[in-house]
Amino acid sequence: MAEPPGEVSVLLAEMRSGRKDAFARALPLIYNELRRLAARYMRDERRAHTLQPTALVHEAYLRLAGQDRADWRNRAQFIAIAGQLMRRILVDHARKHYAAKRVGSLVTLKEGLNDGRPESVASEEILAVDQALESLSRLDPRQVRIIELRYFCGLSTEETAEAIGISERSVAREWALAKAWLRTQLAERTRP
Amino acid sequence: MTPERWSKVKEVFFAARDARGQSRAAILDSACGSDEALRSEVEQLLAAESEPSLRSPTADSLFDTPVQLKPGEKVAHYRIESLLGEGGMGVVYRAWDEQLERPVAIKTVRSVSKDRESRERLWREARSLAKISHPNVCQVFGAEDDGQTLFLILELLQGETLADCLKGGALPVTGAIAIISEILGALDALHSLGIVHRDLKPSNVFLTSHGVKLLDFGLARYTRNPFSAPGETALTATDHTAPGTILGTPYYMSPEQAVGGLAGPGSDIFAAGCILYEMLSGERAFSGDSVVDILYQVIHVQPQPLEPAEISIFNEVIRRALMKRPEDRYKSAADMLREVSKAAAPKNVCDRSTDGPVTRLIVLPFRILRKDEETEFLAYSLPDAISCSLSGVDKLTVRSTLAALRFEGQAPDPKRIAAEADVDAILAGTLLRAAGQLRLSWQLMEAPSGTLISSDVLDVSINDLFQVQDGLAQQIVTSLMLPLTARERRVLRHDVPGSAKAYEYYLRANQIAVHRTLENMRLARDLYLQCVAEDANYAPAWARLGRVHRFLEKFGGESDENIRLADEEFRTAFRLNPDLTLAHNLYTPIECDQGSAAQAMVRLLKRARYRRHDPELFAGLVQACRYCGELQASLAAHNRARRLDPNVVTSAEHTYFLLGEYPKTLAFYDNKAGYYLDAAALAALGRNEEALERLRHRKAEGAPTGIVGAAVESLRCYLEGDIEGCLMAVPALESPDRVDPESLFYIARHLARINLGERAIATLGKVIDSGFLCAPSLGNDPWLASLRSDPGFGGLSEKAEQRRIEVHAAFLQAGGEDVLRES
Repeated sequence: MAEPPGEVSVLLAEMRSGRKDAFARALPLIYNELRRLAARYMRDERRAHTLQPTALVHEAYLRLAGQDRADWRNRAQFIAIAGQLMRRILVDHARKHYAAKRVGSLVTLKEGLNDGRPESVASEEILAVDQALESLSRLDPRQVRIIELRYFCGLSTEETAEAIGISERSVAREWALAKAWLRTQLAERTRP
Repeated sequence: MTPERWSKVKEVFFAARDARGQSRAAILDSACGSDEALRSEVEQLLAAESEPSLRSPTADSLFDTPVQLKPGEKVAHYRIESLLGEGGMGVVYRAWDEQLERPVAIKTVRSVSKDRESRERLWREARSLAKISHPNVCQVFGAEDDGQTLFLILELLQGETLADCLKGGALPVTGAIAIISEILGALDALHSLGIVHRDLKPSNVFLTSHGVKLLDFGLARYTRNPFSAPGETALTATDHTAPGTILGTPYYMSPEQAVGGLAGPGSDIFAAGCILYEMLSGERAFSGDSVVDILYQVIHVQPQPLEPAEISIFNEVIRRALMKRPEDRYKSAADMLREVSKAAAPKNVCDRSTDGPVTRLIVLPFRILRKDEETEFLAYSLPDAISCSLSGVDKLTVRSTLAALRFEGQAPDPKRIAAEADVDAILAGTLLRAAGQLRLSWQLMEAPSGTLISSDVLDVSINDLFQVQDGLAQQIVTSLMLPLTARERRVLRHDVPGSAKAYEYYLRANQIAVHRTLENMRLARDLYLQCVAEDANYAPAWARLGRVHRFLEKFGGESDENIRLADEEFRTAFRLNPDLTLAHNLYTPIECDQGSAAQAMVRLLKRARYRRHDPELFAGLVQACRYCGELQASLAAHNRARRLDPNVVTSAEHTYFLLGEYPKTLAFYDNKAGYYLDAAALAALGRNEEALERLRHRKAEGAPTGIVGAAVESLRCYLEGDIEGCLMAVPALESPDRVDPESLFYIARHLARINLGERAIATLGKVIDSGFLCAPSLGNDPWLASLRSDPGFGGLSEKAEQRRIEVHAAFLQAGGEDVLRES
């Protein structure tokens, strides 16, 4: 069930004013809304198009906080949190799927990598990115946020810049590096 | 790595990234100095940057399982009902089309291709498959896409696959030939559209009560193929009908596919050869213990010739079809079909042992010996009902009631009737009503001799009247010693209503509908409605009610509902009695009006195979063939109908009009009470004054409404020089109603004549879409001359041509050439 609009806005404002428990209380609300929306999308509109995470995030924001006069600070903050949550949702799911496949019958390399679905990214890849981010978080937490928003949430450079509060140019540079770095990490992991 | 070290890596990376070539090397040299590890780290990152981009996961991956639809779920406006099975290309469900309210099958087609371009190509192909309309090809109604999976919406088939059927061993020769003929007809149609099946095999051949249906054509190349170059030849995966089959066992694969080459029409011919071999022998043409064994056989070995004499006659056909090089096989499926028929011919002659003399009968109106209002209507309607019953007998050609009306009220003169109505037998009778009893005396006599064949007197109560029809029809069949098939016996019995009251309504309505004025037709409609309210299972009443509604729609234009009602009523009639001759013949114009002329043509051609003496059937073919652009066939059908009954009414004048033979149009039309066509022909001949005179005269008498009224009015205005009026009379093109495309064609001619090229072309587009293919008038009708330089004309004639090709294939497949061969 959707929480009454406004609660999340209040929590976001409280977070800015330094209340530590606000973040912890906002998290499950946003998390549940994202999952609920994703499930509804898949039920009702799966025929229409591929579901992009960014659509989920935006809709969740509109539903949870957007009804109060759109405060750009709220929005940036919300999206930054949603980025972390989308990562968690997608990774959890990929993990479950990967495990299920391991206990199942023989899967060819191609099928395994592809999941038989041309448009979807293999769960292995999602898990590898997650692990790489785990090690990166000790070195460069901001870079991790950028990857979450761009890779897991599918946000544009502009939206990412707004959510993190840095310039678009910085986001573009950081993202270029992040991509290159992810690729080297992924290549290492898939090496036998 | 430490955070400090990482900052250093980033710094050098950003600096080097903005530089190129020499200067990049210089930056790396100065920034890294002797720190080789740092340099290698940064160089790796720089190299990785030029690799293809990472793709973000979509949220769809939250729902990982392949598309699995549950009952009640929806794909667009299709509601899933149940799982039908899993085939090579995906899962098949039974579903309900909520828009058109009909059951359909939905097949999920997995595209294994990653890129957008090939997905779009798959879509394009799905759309082109949806354009194929052929009786032996499973109809693709449409396609839906959710970004990953393509859903094909298909005709729902009832029956079994040929693969299932072959589990019982070889088939009887006649059955095998019937099946292969329909397969080849379907292949011919597909090939003429440039579609290669690529994966023809018994599990893709469905046997239904309406004949063979081919499945899974054309899309096969999109399925996984472990043997050959991606995207080209194909094997489908497991065959769910045969558990234990090795994945994609290539029993029906052509040698060129087996070696990874391109599949062409010849590959389908090869597969058809394999299937024919298997149906006749019960053995696969190529088999082996492993995929490699089978492929070796396919590429290098010829199958054992068939042994017993009755099937060995097909060895030559099979040998040609199974040649290793495609260029050595039959050039086309039609060629192979011809050879199959030739090889089977001697047997066919035996099969036609049912050929024999046909008796041509006329049932005269009964004479009422003591006139009274209660029985008068029976004079015409009872003989009409009897004629109708008897028209289900193939060995009998029954003259129309209209023809019989000319001999009303006189003592029959067999010599004159034989000459004028061209018959061998005459049924005449008298009715006498006395105190609730009815006495019918009847005589069946030979013509022209007048020799009595049989006669009887029936006394029935008015309430048992409907038994007269049944009893009399039976007696006539017996007297004429006509052999009846089981089907004919059933049809004869079917034709009696459940109550006397229903029968009376029916007969009275028939009586009134003889003279087709709008007023009479409205009255008849009400009576038929009362009849079916009394007995909802009386098929002939439903069919006649449908006919009346169609008439009211076309000439009365009073309600948009009429044509829909007509269609429903015919469906009801067919449901109650699929063999009802009356319904088959009366339905044709409605089917044509509704945009299904090709379907009507195929239905009639198939029926003509065992109803070779039914003039009304051939009269229906005159119209259906004309709509389909088969003008020579249309005229052949007219000639055939006239040979069977010199007085039968056909629409041949419209065919002559399309051919540009206006004097002939007039000659055919002049003795009819028509509304439009004679005036159009006169105008085409430049005889505007004569045309106008007729139109003015008719307007004064009360013009028709509906689409025919629109055509009449716009022509009249044009001839009066009233261009605006001519245009005003034309119905809006956007009107959602289905209108008779032939009438709309006539209206489009007017639009072209007053130089409204764009509107005329749009109208003709709708005409063609509605199944009236306009051939050959697009090329030679003088009133369409102004269009031929219009930029939209090319697309129009291309569309017409495309439809022509498809419809012609269906015509050939239904045996059109054979049925209408001039003898």
